Amino acid sequence: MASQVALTGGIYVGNADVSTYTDDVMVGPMTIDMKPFPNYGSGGNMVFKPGLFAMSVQVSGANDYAAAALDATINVGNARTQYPFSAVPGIGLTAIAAGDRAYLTRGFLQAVQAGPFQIGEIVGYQFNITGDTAGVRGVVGAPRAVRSSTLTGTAIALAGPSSSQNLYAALHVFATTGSPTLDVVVQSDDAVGFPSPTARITFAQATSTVNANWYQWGTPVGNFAAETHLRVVGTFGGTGSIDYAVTFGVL
Amino acid sequence: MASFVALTAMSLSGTAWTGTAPGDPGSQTVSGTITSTTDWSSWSTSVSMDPKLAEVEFTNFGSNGFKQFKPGLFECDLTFELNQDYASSQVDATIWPLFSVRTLTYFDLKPTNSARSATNPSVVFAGYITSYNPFGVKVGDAVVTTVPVKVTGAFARLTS
Repeated sequence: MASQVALTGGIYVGNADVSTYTDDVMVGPMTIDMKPFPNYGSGGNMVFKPGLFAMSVQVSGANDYAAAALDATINVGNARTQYPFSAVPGIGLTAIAAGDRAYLTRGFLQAVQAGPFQIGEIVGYQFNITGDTAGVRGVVGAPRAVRSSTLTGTAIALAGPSSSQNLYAALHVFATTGSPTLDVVVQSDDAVGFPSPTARITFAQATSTVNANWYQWGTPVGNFAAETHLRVVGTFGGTGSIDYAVTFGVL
Repeated sequence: MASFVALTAMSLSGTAWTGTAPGDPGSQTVSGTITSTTDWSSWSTSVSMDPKLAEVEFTNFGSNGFKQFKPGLFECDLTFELNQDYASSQVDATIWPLFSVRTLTYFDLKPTNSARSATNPSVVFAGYITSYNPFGVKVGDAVVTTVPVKVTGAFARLTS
């Protein structure tokens, strides 16, 4: 019997984890435009073929105007900015782990609403992201964590992509201390032990400088169907620590 | 007095058909069953179908002040309301590939989970899932999803 109660989750927009500000998230609707082609041979019935895919995301909750809080990162000034987006529907109160279900896409921040402002009430916020690429049902490659050493992530069984599919990935860097560097790759191999890994998606290096390298949508890559497993490797350099998460999936 | 309480309504899906399948081209006489079924019944809180005929007007100066119509093309939409489940082989794992790959899917809907019969007819369709919201919820609520299906071509009511 299917059932799922939303108690925890991860909502990542660019370099912001908005989970603790969010009480309502809508990943979708994802839609496919149906194209009619009725003809004299269709027996009096409408006939359709599937067309283009489109996707949007709506997130809302309670705003926070403190330094380095939500409004400092997601506000009307960021409208029109292109961000990777990842949503992880939590399972009960269990902490997010590698391999957990995640949905990822990339899109433009739009319809940013600061408010409502109502005396005596929690100040709200809401924003939409309109996807400009695939919407991918994927997994958590690296759960959000503060790391001060290299991560060799959990090997996740995920077949493909075939010649008609692509591997997609999103990197979200939330904070740093000190002067670290981070080089993240998504690797594939044909065995769980990763005896001969191949880097499939390589993100630009993130450092303590807050810039677009803190939120990256990996260039999709496809056609390595013989591989059976994927994993994230985050190579740490410098000093201090870096707080990040990675999601990936095949479509 | 007509009455029926839906307690065990059955919704089946599949991607292959044995017999003459519903769907395109639309002129065929449908018979048979889904080859290998996935049962949506334990996921579903609501199933609705909306078959309709297009109204084609031909009102003319001889209609004596009345509008006149003939039935046009047949069209149908299905809507499933499901409790979400991200476990293996459950709701999300089933719906996503059908939606993302735009797979033509067959549906067989019956008022009870008994075998197809004159008093438990199947209505069978072929269609595409046109929209999917895998994660849309307020914290603390049950995660549910609405799955609309656009039916293409012929659909039929079968009693055997």
